[in-house]
Amino acid sequence: MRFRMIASIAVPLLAVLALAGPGLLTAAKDYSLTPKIKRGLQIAPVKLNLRGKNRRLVGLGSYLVNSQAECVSCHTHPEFVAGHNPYLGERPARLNTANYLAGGEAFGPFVTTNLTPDANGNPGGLTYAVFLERIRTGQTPAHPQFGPFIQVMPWPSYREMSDQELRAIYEYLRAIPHAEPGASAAHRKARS
Amino acid sequence: MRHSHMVALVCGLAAGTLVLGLLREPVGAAVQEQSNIDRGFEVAPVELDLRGKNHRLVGLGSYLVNVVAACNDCHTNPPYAPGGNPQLGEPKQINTANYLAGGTPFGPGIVSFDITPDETGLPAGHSYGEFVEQMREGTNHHRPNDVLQVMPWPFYAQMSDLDLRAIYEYLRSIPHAEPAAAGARITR
Repeated sequence: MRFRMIASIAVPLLAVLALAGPGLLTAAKDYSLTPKIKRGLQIAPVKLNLRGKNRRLVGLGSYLVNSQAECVSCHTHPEFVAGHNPYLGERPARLNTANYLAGGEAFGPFVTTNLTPDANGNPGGLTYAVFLERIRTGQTPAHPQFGPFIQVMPWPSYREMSDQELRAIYEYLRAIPHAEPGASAAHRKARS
Repeated sequence: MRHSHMVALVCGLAAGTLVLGLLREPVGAAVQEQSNIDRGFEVAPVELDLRGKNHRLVGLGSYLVNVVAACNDCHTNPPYAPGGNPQLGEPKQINTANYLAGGTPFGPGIVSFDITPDETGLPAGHSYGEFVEQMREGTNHHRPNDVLQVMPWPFYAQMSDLDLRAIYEYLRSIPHAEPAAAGARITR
């Protein structure tokens, strides 16, 4: 008797689960994303290539790159589309997605690097191991005349990030489209 | 084993798996957030006044200010104590005497603000509401007709309320400081 009662509840329930399974799974997946990851996926200003990538890491990476650590600010040049520069009070602000994270902003003799994936899909042409070493040690072969250390970029702060966060940043940079630096000067910010 | 027990077991296992699956990420995130909070307390370079403050927010705020958002880079001038600049290959030593007291020049008329607490305990003299407005809208409370320049507020604007609250709480808990005397400044 009891078995029948349970079966009469369980069988339709399982049938519903089987039918609605894929939808429920997607809903459950979204539900299980943390606010930071969700926000990261929402604010990414370019189309992301998520094939073969961990969506959670990419989302977290986007939140770090686009908001918390604002890599975009120095590594996108010019930062905003003409007529949409919030520093000039122009609204709505519109990011320059054509040259997004492609570097090219000059700080004295130092120019920000292109962080977008190269032909092999490696951000800035760096493997994860090399990327990690750059951030953790601040060493670069880019400008031997000025010594072995990366200048301007606040890596002495970023190097304290957790492995997970640095991995997330790398995964996000793998997911963005390749881009080339924009033409110079026009929208350069007054920055030291 | 009776059938009813079997069905209950299967249903229980299925439900348990589902619940664990749903909780996996939030639990993982909570662990990660806790490690960021702990790290925040480790890297804070000054003594913190935690009286009447939410410790978790202060720790998270320290992590954001000192690690992820690198506020020190522009708001402490010079950022490092003599002999403590990692960009010169020296072991990192933050300039704690002028920590977050601003004073870094960025072109004509643009100097980073002192974001330490004033005599009433408000960071840069701003209420939380003013701070949020500044971060989200670029409002310059010192010159209300101007938008904040240089400071990457258009990007910080997308931070969560929690992150902004944490940053503000951390800035409330650091000691007041003054920018270094102009003559003593080391320009990077």
